[in-house]
Amino acid sequence: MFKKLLISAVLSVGIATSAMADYTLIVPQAPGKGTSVWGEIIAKNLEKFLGEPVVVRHIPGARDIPGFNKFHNDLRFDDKTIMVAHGGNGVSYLLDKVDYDYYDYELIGSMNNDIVLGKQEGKDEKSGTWTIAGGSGFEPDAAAAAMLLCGPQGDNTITEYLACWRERVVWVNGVSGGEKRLGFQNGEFDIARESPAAWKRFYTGIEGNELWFTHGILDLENNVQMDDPNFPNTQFEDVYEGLWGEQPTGELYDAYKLTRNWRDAIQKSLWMNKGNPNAAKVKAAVTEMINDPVASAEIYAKTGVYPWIQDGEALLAALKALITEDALRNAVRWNQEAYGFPSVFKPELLD
Amino acid sequence: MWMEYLMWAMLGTAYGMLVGIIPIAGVTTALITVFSMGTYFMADPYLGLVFLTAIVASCASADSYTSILTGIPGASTTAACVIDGYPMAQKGQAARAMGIAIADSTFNGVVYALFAFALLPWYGEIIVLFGRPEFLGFMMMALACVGFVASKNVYTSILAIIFGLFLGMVGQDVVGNPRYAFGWEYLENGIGMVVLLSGLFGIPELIDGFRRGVKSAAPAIGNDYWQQLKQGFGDARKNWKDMVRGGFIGFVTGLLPGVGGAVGDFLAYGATKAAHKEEDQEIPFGEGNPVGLLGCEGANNSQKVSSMIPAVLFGIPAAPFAAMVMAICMYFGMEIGQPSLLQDTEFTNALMFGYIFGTIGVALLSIVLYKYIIKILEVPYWIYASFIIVVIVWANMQYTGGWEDFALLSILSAIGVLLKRFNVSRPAILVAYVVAYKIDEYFWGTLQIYGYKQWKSGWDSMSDFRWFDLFNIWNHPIFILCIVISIALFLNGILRKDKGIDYT
Repeated sequence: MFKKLLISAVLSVGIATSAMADYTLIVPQAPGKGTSVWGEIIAKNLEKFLGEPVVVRHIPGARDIPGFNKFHNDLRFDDKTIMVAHGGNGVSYLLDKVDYDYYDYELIGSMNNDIVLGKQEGKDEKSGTWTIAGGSGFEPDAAAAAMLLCGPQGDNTITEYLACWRERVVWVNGVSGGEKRLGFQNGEFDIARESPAAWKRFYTGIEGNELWFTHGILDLENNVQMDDPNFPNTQFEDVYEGLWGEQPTGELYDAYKLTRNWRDAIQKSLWMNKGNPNAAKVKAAVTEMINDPVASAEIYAKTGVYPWIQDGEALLAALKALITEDALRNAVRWNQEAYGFPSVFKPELLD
Repeated sequence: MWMEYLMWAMLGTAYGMLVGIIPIAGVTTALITVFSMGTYFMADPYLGLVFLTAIVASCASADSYTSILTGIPGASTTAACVIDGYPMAQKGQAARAMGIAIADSTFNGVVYALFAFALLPWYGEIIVLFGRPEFLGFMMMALACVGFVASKNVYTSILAIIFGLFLGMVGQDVVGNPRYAFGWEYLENGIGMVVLLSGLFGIPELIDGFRRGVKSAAPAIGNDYWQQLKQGFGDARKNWKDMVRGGFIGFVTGLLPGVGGAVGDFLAYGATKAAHKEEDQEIPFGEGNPVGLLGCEGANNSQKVSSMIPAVLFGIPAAPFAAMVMAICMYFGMEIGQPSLLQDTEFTNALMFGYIFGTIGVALLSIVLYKYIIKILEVPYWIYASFIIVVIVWANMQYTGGWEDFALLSILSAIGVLLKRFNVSRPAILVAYVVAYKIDEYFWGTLQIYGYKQWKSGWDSMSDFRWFDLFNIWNHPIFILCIVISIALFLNGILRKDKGIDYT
């Protein structure tokens, strides 16, 4: 019995470790999650234009950070390794202890995306308690919701908004995407938060909810936030003004802008190490993939139709401009005190 | 397009039949080995769903054939078929027993699949009645079911549940901080369903086959094969009530979270015996009575159908294979337990088509390929068991491709072997593992939404707790009902004198 079992074990390890593919997409999540599915679709399409096999390797971990750290510390030095990052990684870069640093990489392509917020139909922002389901990546959405519920607050300081938040909001932490949707549908939660494609799929034409606001998307050419072409006239700033008669300002608003753009402008992105000899080739293949109607249709079915950015220097410069000491400190404080997240202030980001 | 669906349904049927015929390797093993094919189906997950449901259906039927022909259960869920099926085969009535099995499996597989899928549009309406407290109550009831109904050793079950809850909590807490990862980053995303099923169920079962020195040999085919087969069909027609009863019992047990498994066919067998007077039987039960075989055989097929309902509806697997179905659906990005998924007609059509195609397909294949099935059974166990182990290891190493995949599989397999050796309820561990994170989420969510207006720490918060709101039967009847049932099942498990059969 032992001999046969041994043969079986040796065969198992040998076969399992023998298959090595050419290009590898590192996904910092377990299979089945949003970015993971996006990565699988990209891998399948990219290999057609790259002319070489592309496989996905999942390296999941807490807050999707360990996979990106491993890329930074080790895997990025391999010429055929590509990092798949998502908006949550962008927020973690600002607010969590991480090793990775976008300025060490070359941008291969990033989808400049948006998030849609809905609310229970007819729910009045100016009165009552709101129950909000939170979770990782929710930072800018709930900050925007807080401003809409509380309106202008004296000097618009974080302290004032925190007081209003405690009065008006029941914050439920750690609710997964599907659970949020179900809770919204059965009236347990007052806010829905979806990717644009999911919003269209699950809520368009369904009674009982209304589109509340979107964040808009970053116009890199003019370095301003513009209306989301898929959801015109729904940008947060316009909705706020419509409700409270003035544009949002203050500490929470600056913190919101910081986390919003670091999340949404790099919500689905591909990175390779700076100086990687294959980067130009991969970038060209991604350009071809974006322009191919069949491949792009498959990708947009998952994300909605949003523009790609391939000019990494311009993108990172625009994002860097948002990092001020006050904005960063206030984002950290809001995360800690409003959501209970273990965020940290990182002065090195100000350099 | 439909050609591709048909092709994958046929492949699923053939593959499910092959694994089903192999002694001991059941549906869960079959699904683990195809997990790494998930990438192929990413562009059209419904195609993948057709493939895997065809595997489930055909494997469920083929498991029975092995039990009947060799006396070695094709899987634990068909163990009851051995009682009367194998003596029939030994008495030269193998083809008659096969006829009964084919008719029974096909009838119950198709009828209960149509029944379950016809109800699917209403499942979405049920699910929106569930808020955080209701889900919490339901999870508690699932634990009580698997711990105190399907196992006779309540105290071992409690330990199994605690261990399962621990495994399910490994990873991150609700705000994303590492929990029970012991500094190993790999564990920060938790223990995956596939590696857990491989370690606790797949590998230990196959190793147990080595230990037991499984030698399968099917009886030779007589010249009266077709005549016997027809006789078997006639037995099924004549005793249709036994067939329907068995299917119904299997269907109901499949609905109970974590209970599914081997319970259905043993209960169906017991009910068949109780429905017939022993003295009226030409052949006593247990000695090759066709009615005994007929009464339990189809329970396995209807149980497979209904086991998928709590899995798809609440994300609670009724049996290990249903956990695997859940894992594959989640891999495809499908959100289990969401009304949107239940209202997705492509999803429900894919499930129904795959299952019914697999059920009918395997029946036709079995009739035509009977003599080849016997040949497969003559292949030495160690050859195909080694092959399956290789595929399981390979499938698990597709997760990250690192040594950690292999290390975790090895650790869990060692634990699985020990648990099997000491008869600890592995289904209880599985269900507790699946619901652990949900219980954590629903418990805190319930407190935050229904308990406190604002979260506070310390004993001061107790004065703010809205106990009456939460435990008011008019506000949360489902929650209260689930808690009452859970307590009753626990007390029954502790106090009952007749401990019954241990299905662990």
